Amino acid sequence: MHFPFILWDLFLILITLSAAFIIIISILLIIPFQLSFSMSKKGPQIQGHYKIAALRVTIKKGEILSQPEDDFRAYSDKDEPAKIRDGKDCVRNAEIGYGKAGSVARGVESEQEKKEQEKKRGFIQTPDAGSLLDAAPAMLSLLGDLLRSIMFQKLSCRLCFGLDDPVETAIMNGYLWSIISVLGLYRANIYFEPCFEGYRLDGDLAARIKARLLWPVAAIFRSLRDRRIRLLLKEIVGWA
Amino acid sequence: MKQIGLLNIETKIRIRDAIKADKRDLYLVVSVKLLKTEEKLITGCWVTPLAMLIVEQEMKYAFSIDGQDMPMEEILELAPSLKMVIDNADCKDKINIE
Repeated sequence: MHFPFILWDLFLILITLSAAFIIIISILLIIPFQLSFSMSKKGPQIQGHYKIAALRVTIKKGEILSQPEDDFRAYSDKDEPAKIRDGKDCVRNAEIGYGKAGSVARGVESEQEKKEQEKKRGFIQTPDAGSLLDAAPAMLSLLGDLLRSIMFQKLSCRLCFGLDDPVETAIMNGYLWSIISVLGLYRANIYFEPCFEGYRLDGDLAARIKARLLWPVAAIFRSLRDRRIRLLLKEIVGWA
Repeated sequence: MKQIGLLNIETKIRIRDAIKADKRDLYLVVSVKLLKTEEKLITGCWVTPLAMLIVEQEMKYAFSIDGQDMPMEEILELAPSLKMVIDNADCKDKINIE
């Protein structure tokens, strides 16, 4: 006689647990989340902070800080070929090892770098260009759905950028302003300043975003019904 | 009533990256004009080609964009940083790099 009672208790516990789980998931999907962040980059130093809140309760907040030494090293590595190309010191070319021995050494290094990069990449594979093109319309509609489900309460961006070539800087500036006009962000405090003095990327970015997780999740599930998106995901994960 | 200030135009002379054409290196000198408000905000920019320096092995010559020959001194006066390019070309001629 005791056996059915235990089963009934187990059934009740399971029902209660699943109901609680559904309620928690529903609450998480329905309540509006607020993400606010600000970031500024001056030279190699990046500073900023972020805060995730829901119903005026802070869930997580932190600071974004870059390591100036690492950045400096990255800058100097990146700038090295440019310096050589500028030819401030031609003798330096021979010193650095642009001869045959140098090129062999560089080849070995590049192979090692490739292997390291592959290790770092893990299970994520580069998708085929054809399937990427096939999935592009579906991805664009997903992006549109995601953007519609996010509400920008505050957006301000001030960017000062420069490329190696003044003409390319001017062209890039034109592209950026075109994107702003296409997105209709006139009222937002967005400003791009071209810098014609060489490589440069400085600026400030601040945004406050409000979103209910329900709509992005719904958009993702809707997009997963598309065969092309599923195929692309399989290729990225390496199941195809 | 809001007052409308005159816009300032700032001109800069810059050199484009070298364009390779067979054994020649072409350096284009451009003028970059920036349209700035009173608050120093850039509201527009445009780039105009002015002259070209061609470095062809041992030969170096320049011409203005309207097709006129240009003495070397004149293009160096226009863009003094081209001197570095010329010095570098001379340096390359002297050191044979594999």
